[in-house]
Amino acid sequence: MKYLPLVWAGLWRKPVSAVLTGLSISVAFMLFGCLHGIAVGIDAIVDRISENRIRVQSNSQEPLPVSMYRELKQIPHVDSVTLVAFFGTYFQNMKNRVGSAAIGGDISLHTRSDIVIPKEQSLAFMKLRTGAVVGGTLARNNGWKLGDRVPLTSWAMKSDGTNTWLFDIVGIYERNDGSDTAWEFWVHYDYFNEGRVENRDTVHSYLLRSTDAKYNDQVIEDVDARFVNSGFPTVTQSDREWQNAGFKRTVDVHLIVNTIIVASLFALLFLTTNTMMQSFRSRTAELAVLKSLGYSDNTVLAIVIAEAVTLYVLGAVCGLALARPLLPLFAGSLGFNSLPTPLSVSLTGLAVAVAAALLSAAIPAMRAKRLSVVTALARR
Amino acid sequence: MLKQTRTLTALGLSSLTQRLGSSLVVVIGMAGVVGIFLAVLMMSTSLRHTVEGAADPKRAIVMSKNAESEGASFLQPAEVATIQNAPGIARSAEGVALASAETFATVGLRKRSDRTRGEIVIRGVPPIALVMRKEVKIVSGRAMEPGLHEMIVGRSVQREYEGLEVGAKVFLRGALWTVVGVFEADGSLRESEIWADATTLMSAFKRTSFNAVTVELSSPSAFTAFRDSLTSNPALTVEVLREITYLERQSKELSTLLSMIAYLVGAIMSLGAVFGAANSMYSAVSARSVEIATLRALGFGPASVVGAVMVEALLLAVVGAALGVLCVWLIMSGQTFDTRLSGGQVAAQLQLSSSIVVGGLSGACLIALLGGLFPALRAARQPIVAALREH
Repeated sequence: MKYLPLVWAGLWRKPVSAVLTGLSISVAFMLFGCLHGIAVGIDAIVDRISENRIRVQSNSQEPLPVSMYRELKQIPHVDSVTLVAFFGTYFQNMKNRVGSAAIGGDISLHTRSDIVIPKEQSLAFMKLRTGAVVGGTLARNNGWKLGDRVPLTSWAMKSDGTNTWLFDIVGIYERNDGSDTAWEFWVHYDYFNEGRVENRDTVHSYLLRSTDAKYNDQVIEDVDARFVNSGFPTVTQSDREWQNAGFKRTVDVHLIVNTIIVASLFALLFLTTNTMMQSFRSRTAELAVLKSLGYSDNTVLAIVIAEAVTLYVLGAVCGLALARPLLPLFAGSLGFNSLPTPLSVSLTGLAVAVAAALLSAAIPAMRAKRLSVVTALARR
Repeated sequence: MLKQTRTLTALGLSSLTQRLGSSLVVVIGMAGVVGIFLAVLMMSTSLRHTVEGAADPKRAIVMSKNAESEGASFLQPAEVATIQNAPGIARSAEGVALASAETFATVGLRKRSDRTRGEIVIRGVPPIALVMRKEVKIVSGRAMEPGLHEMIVGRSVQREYEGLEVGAKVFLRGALWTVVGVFEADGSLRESEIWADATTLMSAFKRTSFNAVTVELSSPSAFTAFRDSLTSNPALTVEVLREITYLERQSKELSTLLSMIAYLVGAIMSLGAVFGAANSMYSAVSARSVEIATLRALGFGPASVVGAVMVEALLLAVVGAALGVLCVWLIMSGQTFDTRLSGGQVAAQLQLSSSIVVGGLSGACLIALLGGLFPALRAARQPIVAALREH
């Protein structure tokens, strides 16, 4: 730490060069923070999904018969089977859409790993036909509380000629990762199925839970093989893959992000290596003086490296700090309104900065270490 | 002054190899900025090109009013009959109206590359569609027979997804469908689709209505009469668009998003490049400070010094930009960019167009000008005596 003034003075020998290089580093790491942040955020969304959830759908988006439930329960390594039928509804006015999902089969919501709900509420839901479990975010948005009786209007007509469905809110769930994104509205399949006119006794998809994630591939093969000739061929995949493929289907985010980051870091490394080498070429006499004063070769090496690391870390900290408020704006413009932004992004950035500093300073540092005092001073 | 600038520039460039490091910084930095910018922008323009390439100026599409896309539009058979009798529709050699009433659905298929599921549009068309959409050509096998569970697949779908060779069978909605042919469509959107007979598809998917009617008009100017006759008909609630307008609308959101990313990332990287270029030019100028001072003492005006530094920066930037363009062209040209658009997966062929290359080069020049300005001014303003004395 006693060398810090020396390192600092060394950085500012050429102020213009130091400032411009520092600014380039900041810009590069601002880009890193935004891009890497988006990639990590998307991964976090996918990771929220439990590893052993498997989604079963028809290969041509037609509804699947509810009778498949019994056969699916018999597939080996399947722990539970939930059936889901989505129906479009709104609350009070057409713009206030509520994505309602009628669920059936194994619906012990308190055993799900991605949400948090008090056990009594989950059990109360299982006992009440007209019960509903709603997401905390949705409930707060609409002013709903436990015990409220809520009317939802569907676009499809009901069997009694009306469009209105009445539900009793018996449970409110929150996401277990701290994000305020609990938007779903779950009701009972039996109640829903009796009330609807079209597509009776069918579901959109089945969600299976395997006893262990290592059995996922086995279960997926078994399910598709069981139904391939049944009249309702299925396409089964792990729920994480389904979510991931959904993002990838539009744009391969990781590929683009990594390519841009690599290209810009490469150009930056070029710039800083050049700056370092120029700087030390012009200061060989100073380094020679330090050595003649008694500083060891390795100390001089360390001073050179320390200068590079200091410049990089200062620049990176500024850039990454700027990226943090920018990231939600960036993500919002791409359509991700509540992207998780973990601190690991900034920490990774700092690690990359240190690595880049070491790479840039490698050649000048080695030259500084090997510098012969006599030759350097004689040249001057 | 021009002659002086030319001389000074030539002098500067001749000693460029002595400043290889900082010169390469400008070249590589510019290559990176231009390369990335063009790569992302290319995705946007290629997508628009692929989608709009399917349009013909003589064609129009009729959908339900206010439908966002074909998929949200529903036309009853009676409405379709009225549409098919509207004025302005061209006729085939046999006198049949060139009007194609179509219904589409999607089918889940597995990609060859990573075995994930993608959804492909399967479009039910009448026999007249193959006559009307002249750009669609069967390159292998034959067209489907009406009334049979047969389908033809676009070249792009067949390449990217499993199980679609001629003769292969796909189980769909209670029946085995046979692939009887493969078609190409000038590299446009249609190559990402599967086509089947409309009536057979509708009965398999239990549909009673069509999604849209696409017609070929006798001439592009017949559009207004055609549209007015349908929109003024009280029995119909339809919207009539030129095919190009409709397709532009479909690709607009995604291609705008990609363009926005290209400009945003490009702007940030350009800022870094400006700092990098400035850094390089400052070191170039200070390396030559004695030389420049001597030349100024000899009578070269300050304006020519500024000019010479700027020209050097510009040349380096243009070389860098050209390098970036070359890299992008080598790596990406000819690849496909697979994305999801209004219903199904679409594979767009990536192509570098001259307009975006010019855009990239102009951007590089702008960066060079901005970055080289202050170093150039400093070189011109440096007191001659002080510079000569410093050495």
